[in-house]
This record gives sequence, C-alpha cells and structure tokens, in this order.
Amino acid sequence: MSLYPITTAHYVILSGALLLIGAAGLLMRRNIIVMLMAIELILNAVNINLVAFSKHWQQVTGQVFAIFVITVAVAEAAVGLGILIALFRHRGTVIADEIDLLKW
Amino acid sequence: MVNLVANFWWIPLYPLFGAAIIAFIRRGASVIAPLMVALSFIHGLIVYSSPRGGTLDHTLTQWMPGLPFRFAADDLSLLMVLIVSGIGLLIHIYSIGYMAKEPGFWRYFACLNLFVFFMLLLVLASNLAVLFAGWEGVGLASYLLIGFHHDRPTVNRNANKAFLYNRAGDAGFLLGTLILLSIAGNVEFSTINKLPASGLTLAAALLLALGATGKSAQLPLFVWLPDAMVGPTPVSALIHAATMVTAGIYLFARLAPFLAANPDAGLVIAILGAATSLIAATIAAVEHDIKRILAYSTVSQLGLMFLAAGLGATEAAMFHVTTHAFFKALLFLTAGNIIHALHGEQDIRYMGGLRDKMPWTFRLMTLAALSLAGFPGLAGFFSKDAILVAALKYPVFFAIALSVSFLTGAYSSRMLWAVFFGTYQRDAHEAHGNMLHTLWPLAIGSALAGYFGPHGELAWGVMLTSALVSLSGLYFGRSLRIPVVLKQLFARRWFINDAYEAVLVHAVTRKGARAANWFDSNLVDLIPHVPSSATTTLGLLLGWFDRFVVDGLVRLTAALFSLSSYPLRLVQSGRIQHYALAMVLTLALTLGWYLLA
Amino acid sequence: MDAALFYTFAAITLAGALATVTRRNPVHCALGLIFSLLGVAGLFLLQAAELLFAVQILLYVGGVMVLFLFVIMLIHLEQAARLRQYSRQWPVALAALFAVFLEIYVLAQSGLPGLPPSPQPRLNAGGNTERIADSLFYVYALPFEAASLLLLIAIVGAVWLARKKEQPQ
Repeated sequence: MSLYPITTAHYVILSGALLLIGAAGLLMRRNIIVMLMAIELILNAVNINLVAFSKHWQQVTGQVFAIFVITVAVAEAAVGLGILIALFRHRGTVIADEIDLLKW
Repeated sequence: MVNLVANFWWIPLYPLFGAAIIAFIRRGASVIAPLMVALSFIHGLIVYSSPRGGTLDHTLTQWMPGLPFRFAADDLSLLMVLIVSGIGLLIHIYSIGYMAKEPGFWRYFACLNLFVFFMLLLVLASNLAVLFAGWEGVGLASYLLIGFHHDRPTVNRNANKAFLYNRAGDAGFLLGTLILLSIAGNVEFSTINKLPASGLTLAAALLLALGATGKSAQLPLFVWLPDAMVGPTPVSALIHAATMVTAGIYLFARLAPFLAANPDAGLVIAILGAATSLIAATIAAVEHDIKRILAYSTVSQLGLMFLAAGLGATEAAMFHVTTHAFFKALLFLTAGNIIHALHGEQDIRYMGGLRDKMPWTFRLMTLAALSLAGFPGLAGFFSKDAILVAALKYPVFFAIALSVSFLTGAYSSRMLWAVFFGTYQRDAHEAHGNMLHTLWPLAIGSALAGYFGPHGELAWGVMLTSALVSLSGLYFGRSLRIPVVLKQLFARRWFINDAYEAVLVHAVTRKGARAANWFDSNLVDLIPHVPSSATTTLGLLLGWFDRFVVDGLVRLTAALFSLSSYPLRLVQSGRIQHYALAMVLTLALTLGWYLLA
Repeated sequence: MDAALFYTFAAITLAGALATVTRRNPVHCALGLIFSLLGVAGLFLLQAAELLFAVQILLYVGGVMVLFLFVIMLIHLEQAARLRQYSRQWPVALAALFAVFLEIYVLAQSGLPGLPPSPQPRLNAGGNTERIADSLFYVYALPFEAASLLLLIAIVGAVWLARKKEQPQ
C-alpha cells in the first residue's frame, strides 16, 4: 500500500492500530482507571472505521452510528466510573488483580 | 357239606383272618384270637382223623417257574399242626388272664394269631419256598412279640438281636434253597428227597442246616434265645419252647431222605447239636433268672433233637419235639404264674418257700421238671430214651447225651428247690382261672404223651442207665457244687455272646458306622461340595469383577470428571483481564483460521 | 496536503494512545487520552464529518475526560501508582494482539483493494448536520429513543453506584 494518496485502507489500518493499542492497554495494565481509558480508545478506533466507510460509501449512516457509539461510550464511562468508586470504597484498591471474588 | 379234608389248606387261614380282624377293630381280641386258633385245631383234628389216602396236595397258584404256591399234608405235618394249634390255643387262653391289664392287648393277640398262621403255613408247605415264607413270617412274629414292651430299651435291642440272628441263618437257608433250585429246577420236598448226592447237595444241606441253627437256636446262632426272654412269658412258652424253635427239626424231618443221602451234613448237624446241648446245660446250671434257665434248657433239649435228626433218627427227634412241647410249655407257664404272683420277680435267689402259697403251681411245675429231666415213666423219659438209643452209634455222642441228662436233672431240681422250698420270703397268691386251668392238658401230656410215641425195640439197658443218670442228677441238683473255675466259664456263657458282641456288634456297628461316616463326609459329601465350592468361587470371582471392573468403570468416569474439572476450574480466576485475554486469543485464532482457510 | 494532515492527526492519535497505556501516573494517562481524542476529532474533520468532529470534542473530551479526571482526583491513586503497573500476562497478550494486527493487515491488503469504488459524492449534500438530522430523526428514530433511555439508566445507575453510605460502620 502506498503512502500517497490516502485511501480508505489507510484509515482502516489506523483504526486497527488504535484498536490494538487500546486492547493492549486493557489486557496489560493493572489499574482499572487506565483500563477504562483503554476501552475509550477502542471505541474511538471503531468510530474512525465507521466514519471512514461512511466517506467511502458516501452515506451518512456511518456517522449516525458513530454518534450512537459515542452515546454508549459516555454511558458506559459514567457507569463504569461509578462502579469503580463503589469498588474503591469497598475494597480499597483499584488493582484489577485484587478484584477476584468470583474466582473458583 | 364242605370237604374239609380236601380243603385242608384252609387251616392256616383262620388265624390270619383273626389277626387282620383284630388289627382293624382292636376289640374282642380275647374272643376272636383263641376262636380262630380253635378252628385251626378242630379242622386239623378232623383232617388228621379222616382217611386221607396218602399225602394231601393242593396248589393255589404258580408264583414263578419252579415255585408253585403249594400245600401238602401228611402225618408229619398234621402232627405239627395239632401241636401248634393245640398248644397255641391253650396259650391264647392263658394269655387272656396273663395279659389282662396290659395296654396293647389287641396288638399282642393280633401278633400271636399272625404267628400261628405263619407256623401253620410252614408245616403245611410242600416246597422250600412256601416253607421259607412261613419261616420268615414266624421270625417276624417272634420279633414283634419279643418287642411287645417296646418302651423298655433292652427289649428293643433283644428283639432286634433275635431277628438279626434269625436272618443270619436265613441267609444260609436261602443260599441252600437257591443251590437246590439250580440243581433240580424246583424245590419240592419230593424232588429234593430224591436228588443224588453231590458236592453241591452237601453244600446245600449244610446251608439249610445253618438256617436251622438260626431258627432253632443252636451253635453258632443260639445267643438270641436267652435274650428273647424279655418278651411276655406266654410268648416264650409258645414260640421259644414249643413251636418256632422246633421248625428246624421239622425241616430235618421233612428232608430226612435228603440228609440220609448226605450223611456228612447229618454228622455236622449232630456235632453241632451235641455241643450246643452240653454247653447250654452247663450255663443253665449257673443261671439265676428263672426264664433264662428254661431258655438254656430249651437250647439244650433242641440240641438233643438236632443230634437225633443228624444221626438219621428223625422219628426220635419228632417224638422229643412233641413231649418237649408239653413239658416246656408247662414249665414256662408255671414260671409265668410265679412271676405274675411275685409281681415281676424273676430271680430265683429272691424266691423261696412258695410251695405252700402256690401248691398247684408247685405240683404242676414239679411234674413238668421231672418230665424234662427224664424221670422214669413220664413222657420225657421215653423220648429222651429214643434219642439215647440213636446216639449209641457214636459213643462220644452217647456220653455227651448222658452228661446232658445228668445236668438237666441237676438244674431242674436246683430250680425247684430254690423256688419252692426253703424260707418263705414273699407274699404270693395261687394262680386261678385261665392261668391255672389251661395247664391241665399240658400236665396230662407231660405225663402220658410218652406212651403214644414210636416204640422201637425197648432197650432196657439204655433205659436203666438213663434212669439212673437222671435220678442222680435230680438228687445232686439240690446242693450243686460247681468248681469255681468252671462256674466262671458257665456264668459268662462260654464267652460266646461276648465274642459275637465284640466282633459283630462293636466292630461292625461302631467301626462300620465310623467308616460309613468317613465315606459319607469325605466322599459322598464331595458331590455337593464340588458344585457348592464351584459356585462359591464363581460368586467370589463375580464379586471381584463387580467391585473392580464394573465399579471401577463408574469410579473411573467420576474420577475423569473430577480430574478434568480441577484444572478447568482454575480458569475461573475471577480476573477480568484473564477473560479479556481469552477473548482476544479466540479472536486471533478465529481470524487465523479464516485467513488460512 | 490532506496526506500530511492525515499523518499528523494519525501521529497525534497514536502517540496519545501509547501514552495512555504506558504512563504510570493516571493523570498522565488521562492527558494522553485527551490528545488521542483530539487527534481522532481531527481525523473526523478530514473525513468531512463536521458534526462528529464537534460532538467528539464537546462530549468526549469535554465530558468524559473531565469525568475521568474528577474520579482520578476523588480516588487516591498514589499507592496504586507505586505498585507494579503491568499484569503478568503481558507477553501472551502482546503476542495475541500482534497476531491479530497481522491478520488485520493481511485482510486489509487482500480485501480492501477489491473494494468497489466510491459512488458519486453526495455525502454532505445539503449540509452534514442536516443529513445526520434527517437520518437520525427519521430513519433511526427508534435507536435514538433507545439511546436516550440508555442515557437515563446510566445517569441513575451512576448516581446510585457512587452514593455515600449513610452510617459509617
């Protein structure tokens, strides 16, 4: 793939890279706040993809869908942080490894 | 009008019916039983006194080839018929009184009638087979009657003993019969008496003689008779004095020509008879039980009869059978009176002075004893004389016979002195009614029967000698002294019974029983043990199989689950990052699969 | 021209993302995320998604990130910052993610050239906002209402979850 001109493919690869960085953060970091941020990165990667294809097909549906994604991401961030606060109050920790009540 | 002569074979049937009827209705035995025997006696008397024209014959049916169910009647058999039914009738009537208070009254008379039937069958038989039927039958009746008081243990044992020793003899009888059957094709007396002598006939004769020693209580099979005295006294009188025990001599009389053709057999018989006679007389001299004295006396007298028959003097033998029936029956019945009066006492050492209390019994018994001892003029004197004359051929036998005479007199007077004289110790009452008046005919016979017997030339020398010997025996019997060493021998019955007991009874029954037990528990029991242990082993194997294989499979499955679930369980770490990693891995794998495919 | 812009915005996005996932101090992570979101906004603009560009900055950066920063301030994370930051599974995770990246790249290389060409440009005919409004309130009215319901639930949930307990135990 050539660097110039910029095609939809570039955006797709970028979206994939962002996705993977976000996934890496989710899988590798122990701090729950950072994990939540990594989830935001993943959602943004999806948005990039949606908008890229929206441009490709010359339809606005992709962007509408991206709005919905943002909505969900906001709701999820709010609830997630609320859980985090409750969790911190009960357990006194924000390390994911120590939250294992559901283990065998 | 029924021809009673031609239908002579009915004579045994009356008491047979009597026995059957009594056994069914169990009442009225005291009337039915003597009545039936009386009928036999009357019928016999009619036939005996009628002109017959030779031997009467009647065939009932053919049982097997060569063995017809056939009767014959001649003077010999009719004589026996009269003795058996006549004395039998008297004893039946006597028994009504003697057995009056016994339970099982009907059983006694049924068996007694049955006995008379079998005995009459025996004497009216025309061949060895029918005779053997009667022979066995009287043995059975004897067993039943000896064992009448079957609630006493020694009684059962002695009844068995009598029957078994009889049976031992009967084995010989049967073998002899079979040999003769194989030689001649049938066993009619007429046929046998014409057989030429041979080794086989000699063997047969000896075997038949063996049977006779069982039935007539001679060596070697005499030991049952003294023990048979546990039966009621009238039974002893009839069966073991007058009739059954004379069956052996009757057999010899029937087969006299046969024995004459095989003189060696006759000699053996004579030797057995002489020996038995002497041995029994010695034992009688030291016995204390009154009935056993009389029993050994019977054995001794039968020995003399055997001696005569063996030497070919069958007439003399039958003469003595007849007289002996009278005085021996009388002796037993008077002894029965004494025992009855003393309420069961039988030991002569505890008797004494009964002469005054039982005068008639005393007189009758004395008459009978003197006749037995051969007091001159009485019946026994003449019949014993006949035997002595026959024994002259062999001095040894003559000497033995004389010794027996002496001893007979001795033990007879010993008994009389002990019972009737001396200090009077117990209370006793004289016999009356049936138990007394039936004795008169016997007394008359004991006294006078001698004059009706066969009279050969009168051997005065023999008569004188025998008279002297008898009288001296009677005299010395009062205070008989026997050397101690001999006394032990006589008292222990010459150890013959002990020898039989040791060999036959103890060895066979105890060791035999042990051997049979060993066989049974080790060999026979193997048969169920093999399948049972096979089944047990199979059961064990199956159990093992069930426990290890079948249950093992189940447990294996369970173990598989728990073993596999444990590592799988560890996957549930509770950490979301692990779960997220799982999702990513799955994604990677799926994409890879998609791309590669 | 737009290639340079693209690469610039892409660089900002990715750099911010890397900062988010690698920094120890959570505030630094939040800052990195802000930069990343701004980069994404720029990319939206390049794609002629003007409304989205504005929404992204207003909502995401101005709302969510502020929320994040508030929570970071509420929770004392100094202790957490001193501990080990990376989970023990990071080699496996990295390997798996790298594998996925390769696969996506291969997919993109093989598939995307087969992508049919863009139709006539009519994306923003009559204005981008107007087009989105049309779509959002006419065609996708039901998801729109559902989304508002979702936001309601989220609000209630967040308030409830984050409440203080009445009695101290």
